[in-house]
Amino acid sequence: MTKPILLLNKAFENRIRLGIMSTLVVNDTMDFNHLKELLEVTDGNLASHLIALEKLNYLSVEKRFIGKKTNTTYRITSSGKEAFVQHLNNLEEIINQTL
Amino acid sequence: MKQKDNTLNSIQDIRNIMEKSTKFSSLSGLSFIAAGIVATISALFAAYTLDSNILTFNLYKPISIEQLYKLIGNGIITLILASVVAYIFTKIKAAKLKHSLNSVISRHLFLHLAIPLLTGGIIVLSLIYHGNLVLVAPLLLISYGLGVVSASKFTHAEIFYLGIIHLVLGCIGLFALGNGLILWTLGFGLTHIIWGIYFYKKHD
Repeated sequence: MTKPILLLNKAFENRIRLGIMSTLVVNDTMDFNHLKELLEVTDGNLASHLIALEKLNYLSVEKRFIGKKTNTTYRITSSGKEAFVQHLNNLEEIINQTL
Repeated sequence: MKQKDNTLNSIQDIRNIMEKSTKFSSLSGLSFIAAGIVATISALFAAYTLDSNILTFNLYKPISIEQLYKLIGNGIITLILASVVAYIFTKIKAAKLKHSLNSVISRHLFLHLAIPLLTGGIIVLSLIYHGNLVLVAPLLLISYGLGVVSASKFTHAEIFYLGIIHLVLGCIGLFALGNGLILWTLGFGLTHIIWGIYFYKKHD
């Protein structure tokens, strides 16, 4: 039997990425500033993780202008949701096996 | 063993962030208690204005313009004072939890509370304008109840029942006309105080 640890998605290893995905699973959209406030991270740190998740096609990004400021909102994609649910299932399996 | 701890930590993180991003948790039980006390004092004052007491207060009796103004003024001051004390205690709790009061969630909460409340307020203003005072108290209870019910999904779920109690009292008031003040005291006053104590014990 494959150890579930090997199946854990490396993309979600990081706490911030896990936070981003958790937030977007329960909220339709979230903008950059609110993610930042919620996860208590710096701009640069958050941006790099968002880019990584976007590259994996787990997030879709929408940029708009409000006045002169850019407002970037994020939305989870169906493949992102699938990957996250799979990740939760794997976590569950690890717990079940170690209990 | 370390793997298990990591997994449990991850799950804990997920839970926390989901809850934090969908629920406004800065609401304080003290806010409800303070608002309830303000409402009770205001009801006593309203009865005094009409030379009666809470139990015998009856809007079926004709009242003078001067008394009407006093009642409306009393209502507005109560609303402002209750909102201010409720805001202060919630602000204190938010500071303790290091949460912001201006977040997506708090704005949703406020909007969903405000829509039924403002609509109800306008209906009530139209009734006063047309000189029909007897439905004012039950309709305000109902619009507050609807507002609380619709805002409840953005904060601790028990708030839902606080809304339902006000809706029930309001609906009773629609038929038991003229008993507005006793229903107000039971709803805005007593229910808020009892609810606030329960809420404070559970969440603060």
